[in-house]
Amino acid sequence: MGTIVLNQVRKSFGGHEVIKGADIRIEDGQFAVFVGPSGCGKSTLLRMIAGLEDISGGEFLLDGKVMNDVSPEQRNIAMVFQSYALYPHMTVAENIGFSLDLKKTPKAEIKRRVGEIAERLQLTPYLNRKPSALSGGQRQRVAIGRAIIKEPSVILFDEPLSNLDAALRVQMRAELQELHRSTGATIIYVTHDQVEAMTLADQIVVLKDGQVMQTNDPIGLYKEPENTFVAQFIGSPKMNLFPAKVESVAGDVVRIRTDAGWPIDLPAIEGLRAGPVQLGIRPESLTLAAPHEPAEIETRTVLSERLGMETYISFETGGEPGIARVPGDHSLPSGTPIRLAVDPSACHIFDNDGRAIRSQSA
Amino acid sequence: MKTKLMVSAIALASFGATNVWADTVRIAEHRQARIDALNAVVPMIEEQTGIDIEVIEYPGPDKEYISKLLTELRAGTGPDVFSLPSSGEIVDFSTAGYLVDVTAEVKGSDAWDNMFPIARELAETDGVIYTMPTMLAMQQFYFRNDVLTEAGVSTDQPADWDALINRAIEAKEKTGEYSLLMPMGVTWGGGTYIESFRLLLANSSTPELVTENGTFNLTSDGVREVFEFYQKMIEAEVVPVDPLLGPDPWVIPKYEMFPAGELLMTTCGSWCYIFDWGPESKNPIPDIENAVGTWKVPNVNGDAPSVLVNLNHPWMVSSSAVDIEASKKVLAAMGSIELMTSYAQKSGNLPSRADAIESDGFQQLTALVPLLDQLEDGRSVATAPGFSTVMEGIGRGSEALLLGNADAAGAQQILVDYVSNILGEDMVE
Amino acid sequence: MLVLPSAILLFAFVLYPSGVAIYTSMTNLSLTGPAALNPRFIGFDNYTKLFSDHTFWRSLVITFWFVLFSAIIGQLVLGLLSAILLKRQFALRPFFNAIILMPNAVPGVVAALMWSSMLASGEYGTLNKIVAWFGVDPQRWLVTFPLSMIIVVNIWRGIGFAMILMNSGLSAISEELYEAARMDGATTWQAFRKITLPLLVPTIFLYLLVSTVTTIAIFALIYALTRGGPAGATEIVGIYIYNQSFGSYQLGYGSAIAVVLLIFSLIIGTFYVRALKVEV
Repeated sequence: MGTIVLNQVRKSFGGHEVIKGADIRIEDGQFAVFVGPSGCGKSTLLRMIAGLEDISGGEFLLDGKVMNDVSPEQRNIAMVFQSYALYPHMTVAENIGFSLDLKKTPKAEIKRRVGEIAERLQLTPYLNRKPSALSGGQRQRVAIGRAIIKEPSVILFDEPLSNLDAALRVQMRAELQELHRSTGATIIYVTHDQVEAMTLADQIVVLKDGQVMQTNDPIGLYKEPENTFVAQFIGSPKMNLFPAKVESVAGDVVRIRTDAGWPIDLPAIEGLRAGPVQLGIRPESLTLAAPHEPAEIETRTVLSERLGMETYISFETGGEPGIARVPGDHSLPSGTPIRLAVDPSACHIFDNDGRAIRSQSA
Repeated sequence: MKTKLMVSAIALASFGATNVWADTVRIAEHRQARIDALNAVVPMIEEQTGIDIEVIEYPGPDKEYISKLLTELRAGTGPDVFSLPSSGEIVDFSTAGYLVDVTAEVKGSDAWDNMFPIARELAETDGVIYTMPTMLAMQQFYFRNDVLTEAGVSTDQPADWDALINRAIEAKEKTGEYSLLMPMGVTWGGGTYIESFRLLLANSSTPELVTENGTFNLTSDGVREVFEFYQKMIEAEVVPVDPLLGPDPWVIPKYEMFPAGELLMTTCGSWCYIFDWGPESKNPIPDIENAVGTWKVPNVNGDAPSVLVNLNHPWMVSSSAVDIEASKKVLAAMGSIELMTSYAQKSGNLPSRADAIESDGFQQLTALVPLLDQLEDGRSVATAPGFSTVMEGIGRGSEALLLGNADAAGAQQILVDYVSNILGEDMVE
Repeated sequence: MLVLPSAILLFAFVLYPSGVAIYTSMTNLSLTGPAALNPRFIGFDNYTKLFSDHTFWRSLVITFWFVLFSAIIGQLVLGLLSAILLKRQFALRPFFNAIILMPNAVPGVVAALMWSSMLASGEYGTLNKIVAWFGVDPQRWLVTFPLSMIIVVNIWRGIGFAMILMNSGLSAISEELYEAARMDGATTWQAFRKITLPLLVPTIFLYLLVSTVTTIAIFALIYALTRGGPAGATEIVGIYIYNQSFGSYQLGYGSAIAVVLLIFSLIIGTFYVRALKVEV
């Protein structure tokens, strides 16, 4: 069992508040990812769950029990550190078996269980090596082995893949998912990389400046960001935000005109009144229009990045350039006039404070 | 041709260098009082000899002074003219080749003709003279006349050693203060022999240490008697043992306890009247001529008592002196009445020249003048090469007594073992 | 060619003096007397004498206790303890730091002078004044417990150095290791024994190498406090060499002891260096 609930959890260092009342619920067996830019408090939150940092205010419950003052080793939580924190003077076997050794588990029992874990993590040939003689991926697996030998109900990962190269990361992601499946433990995983978050998580918690911006599953976050921060943080390239005005609401159609003068008609949204808004369009919701097709946006290119199977086109907006991600290869020198069609159903409207405005039914 | 040129160039250069140095003779001196005494007469010696003199300061404690001198002499550097604390060390220096034979210069000086016979006797070994005697150290017992009289303890000359120890015990009983100090132990350095052991040995049943063939008779009755006397002092608790085991053993008993009346009798030299407790002291005893009296050293069997006389800091010329002739000239000039008077004033020793007594300077030293009469009873103990080792061995033997690690026989054994170990069995009788 | 300057320095300051010492040790050279003027070559006589010289063996034993208790046990344990305690932040930390480091900055002779007034016998001694408060009679500290006192003074002097070294060793251990150990269920003591100590081993060996060799060579501190006495109770080998060479003036014999001491130091040094390589 490993259901985690954070109730208005706060953390201050000196007078400085770094976690400003976080409410989070993670169901047993979920793979949850804390994501956010550096300094958002995600690692601090993780360390509070681990018990390595005191909780300044609020409650942390594990399976309904308040854990605020329970010491780390009694929480039945394991943690994999960013730099792995392997004990450099111990062999792989000793590293993995350390927690059992501390509990005075019989030597034979330790050996058996370490053997099992090593088998699972393909570490058997390295059991007698010291960490300094291992590759990055192997060290990572030792750190994981050290965590799962305790059979914890919750495993915490603090940016575990940041020290690995790109190819290895993809492989380790798969291994982590397999690990999640086979242990059934609740996993909380901290990263600043939204791709990692999207590919791994059952549930993503987006954090900014010590506050939870939004909690949802990956596709929910992508489709229905609750604010401009989440909207721009999730997805790559990031969502375009155009300053705009609601020009008219006529029946089922709302006409919005961007400050650059482009008129865009959207399905009516409850509660939307005339006035300034921000129009959010993901780059992949823009398409290049053929000369005979209708198009909302007429502009010129600033730059085009050709990736072969698709092209990222930066275009003039009067302010910060917009970006469109279109399929196929297009050679468009800087200053080429282009026309872009908008998918009205994929547009997001935010008020001037950055909060999403959308129909209750949606 | 080239070689010849080089050689003459070097010769010229060294000749030049010698000339530069020739006008300066460096004299080693230590302890502020002695340096002051020397500085007072340096201009006079320079005028007399036409040679510049540089006084170089050396470390204060005798042991460190000698160590530094030896290290420098060994390396062929060091001062041109220097002194040694007592005649005990001279023979070890001359046999090591550190000293220049100055027989002609000393005998040719007018100082020699006016010297007390005992000074001449001490300066000359087998017809050779290495030193210009300047001062004589006269050692005996000094006691607090005022304190003993008030306590009703006799101040008469003790007849023998038993009388002396009984007097000390009586004084301790009546006053509650430590009553008798004689230097013992290793840390007092040469003083353990010169200011203590020697005094008793010269008045023991066998008053010499050196045999006719130059070996040391350390198993003699006299040596045993001295250690036995020490043992009695320690057992009777008349001697303050603690300070004697510290690194500067003389400081507390001599400069603090004796002036305060917390120590009643001690061996000392004439300088105590000037330097330790007199006008040159930091802690002077008021009315010292009446407050402090002297006893000669009694004889073990009650024979005539005596005082111990020794050459004090006689001057000598280093064999590695830059200009030996100039140094000899300076040495000859250092036998002057003025120099002896200056040292008498500052350090309280007695001039070795009889005619120095008549000088106004010496006559002002009222505490010293009466002591001169006792010079007739002066005795000394002969020394031989290796004597420094014997002195160190005596320090070790007496230290064992102080610590209660050995009795008199044990202390004597330590002395014998130490000397045989260092000098070889054949040097010990 | 590149090694020439260091080769010259090595020769001038290490090999040549060692050679002179070894040669001197095979003569009866003395500072005084006839053997100063004409020293004789006597082969290994000094060494055979040395092996039956019980004072020499006693001084080796004293040196062993002195090094063991002052450097290896006292300074190391207390230095490590202070390094651990002073790693935490607290109000008086700079003050304690200074107190521990100060003795290290004091020259040996000055430290000895301070302590000789501290440990003086009789009621004048500072320590005696202090213990009098607790109703203890005045003690003859440097006479009754000479070696222990010298050890205490040397510990007092050396904690700072040990602390600095241990401190650098400790700060090389990542804080994450302790967090990992906490997560693994280690108590503070278990973390110290299973993480801190094993990871400090190289630092500890380095410290032992330096401190053993320097402690054997200590001179000024002991000479100024006791001159090796009373009755040789504090005569560590360095003092014995001095006493033989400059107290008894036996330079040849003193050199022989010095050569033996040099060999001992080399053996100890090699042992530590080997141990250092094996570990981690």
